[in-house]
Amino acid sequence: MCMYCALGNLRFHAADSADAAGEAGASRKLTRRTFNAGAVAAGLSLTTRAFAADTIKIGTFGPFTGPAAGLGLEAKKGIEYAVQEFNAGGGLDGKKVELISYDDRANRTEAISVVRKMIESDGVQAILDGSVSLTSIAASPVANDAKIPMVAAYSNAVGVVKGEDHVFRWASVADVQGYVMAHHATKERNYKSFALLMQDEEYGRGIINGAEKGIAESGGKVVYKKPFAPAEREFRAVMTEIKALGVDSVIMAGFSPSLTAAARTGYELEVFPKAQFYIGCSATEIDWYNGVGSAGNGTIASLEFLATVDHPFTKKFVADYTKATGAKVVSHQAGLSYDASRLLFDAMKRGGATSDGIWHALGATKSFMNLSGVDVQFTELREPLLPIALSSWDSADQQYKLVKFEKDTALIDPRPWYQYYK
Amino acid sequence: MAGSINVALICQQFVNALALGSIYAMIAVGLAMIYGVLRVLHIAHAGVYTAGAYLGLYFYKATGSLPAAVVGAMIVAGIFGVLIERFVYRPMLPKPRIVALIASIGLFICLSDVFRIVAGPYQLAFDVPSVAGAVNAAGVTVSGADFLIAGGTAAIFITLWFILQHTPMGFAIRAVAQNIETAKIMGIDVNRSVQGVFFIGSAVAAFGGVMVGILYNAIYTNMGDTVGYKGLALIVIGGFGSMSGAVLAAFLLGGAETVLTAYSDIPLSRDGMAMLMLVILILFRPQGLLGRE
Repeated sequence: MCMYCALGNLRFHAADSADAAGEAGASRKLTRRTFNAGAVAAGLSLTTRAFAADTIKIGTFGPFTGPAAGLGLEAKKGIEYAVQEFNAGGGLDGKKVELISYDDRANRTEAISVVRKMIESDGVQAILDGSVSLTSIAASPVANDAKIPMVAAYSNAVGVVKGEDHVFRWASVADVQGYVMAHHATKERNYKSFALLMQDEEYGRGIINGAEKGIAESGGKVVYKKPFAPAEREFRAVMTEIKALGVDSVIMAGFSPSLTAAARTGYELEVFPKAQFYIGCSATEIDWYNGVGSAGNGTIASLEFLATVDHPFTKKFVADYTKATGAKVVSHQAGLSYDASRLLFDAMKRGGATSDGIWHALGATKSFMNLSGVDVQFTELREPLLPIALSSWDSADQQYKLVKFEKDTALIDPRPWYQYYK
Repeated sequence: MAGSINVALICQQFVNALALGSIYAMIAVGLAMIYGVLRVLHIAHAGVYTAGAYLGLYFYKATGSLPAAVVGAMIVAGIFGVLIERFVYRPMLPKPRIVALIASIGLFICLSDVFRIVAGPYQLAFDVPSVAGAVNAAGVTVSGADFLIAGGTAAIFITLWFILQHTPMGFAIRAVAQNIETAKIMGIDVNRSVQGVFFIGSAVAAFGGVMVGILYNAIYTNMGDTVGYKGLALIVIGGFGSMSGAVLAAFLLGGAETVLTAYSDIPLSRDGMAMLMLVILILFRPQGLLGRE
């Protein structure tokens, strides 16, 4: 299928906001320009390079050293497992995927540098982004300018994908998670007063933005809001104040070390479970499993997949993955990266092993089943309508149990949130 | 009722501040001692603190005994500190102090990578069931870890005070801190005194690392980053080289962070506010709290 046909098949919904409409329009303009002004020439050169090679080179980057190494290595584990599975299944017409990976140390400059390197020196046909939001935002224009399709596996900030028509995402927009949690808290639990704890960077701000909008729409009240630095672990003063305020619920956005520390402190100071604790998708990072101990029971997390659902695909994957990698659990980064890799390989099967073909096929993707066995629809903004698995932490079993899959498109649609990010 | 809630709230925040101040004091005291004798900003002290935490976890897993883990970590970290002095700082002492500072920064960065290579990139749990749980009295909750930190800090400072004030080694350390050349002329074994300072400072930092690991149930490769620069801030606030000033600054910082974090609307993180406090204090009192002009 040619690019123009693929674009024709994309669904261009009436955007909920002027910005979203502008984004869609910009996307169309960019793709036409790409097609008219030289995609054929660029595509031919890339195609020649790809078919001359014995393998299909796919790049990945993420933090493999430094403070965020745990996240990047988990993502890499998921991607490597998917590559191994794909190659074991015969690859694409006998050609195997060769994964080229670079460490970005969670550093923006480094991310730009390694993405340039994998495009210019290694000649990758596509990129699986196994990095965090701040580095993904830095790297996505590089991939986009080079017309190399990139799939962001677990970075949730709008800025990763917005305006970059070669960049796709296999994760929810951060704001959606906050909105879904706020909706659950206000509509299904009838909570009225809230404390919000926000990790002060793109991901945390997004979740809290969504939560604030959801709470305001439902007539709830935010009585306390605190930003905190990434990887903060000291929450005693804050939890003491929250306890004194007697809120119905605490919604927190941050990486797993902070979520884990806040859960432990909150339970120790008896803030929880009197108040319901809601946390974002980093709830399934390894640090939570390693560190939360006996605390956290009943905490509700907004997850992008759940590995404990009773679906044959999920059960087989979890069994095979844990056996092959020795991992105790399928972490947030590993699971989303595995799915992002499968999505890319699926596009490769439909569009061929060239960057242009992969891009066409990714753009034409209507739906794709995630590892929880849920069919996920794609929007014209290259964002999935990813159902949010609201799940409750069971400290006795040390795992999350499904509360509900939130599939209501009015709640999980990423498009309305684009207006908040210029 | 409202009054009793407020009293409980104030008492709880006081407990929180005390625990936080104790953590800072344990790293600041070693830094202040080392600066006092060598005039070197020992950035790698934060690496020793992290090493102490990993060692404590290792000994705890090996023995199942918390006292054995604490003592083991303190001894090995103390020896590590002595080795840093002997092989990193001592050869650099004739050179300008900036050389030792750069070496210290380099060592600290290397240590973070060593921890990652040896122990892995993931956060490790330091779960000690014997200190789990908390006591709740009149609305004030004090965790087992808080008791351990406060008690341990008090015991360490009393021991330190005794060593420095009532032992020949303490006398030698104080003499070296006052004037290293005069101490040499008086026949004091300066190298031994300096090594004593590194041993004690590193052992105390290791104790701090173990306590923090237990408190947050987390040991990780870069756990020294924040306490490292806060420790440096504390010896500046306290008055360069003043141990009592550093301890006073540690508790003031713990208190300020607790109050500002919970109640201020300053859009800064806890660490940002701590550093802002440092800048303001230095502007008005460059010699620090207990430093001399």
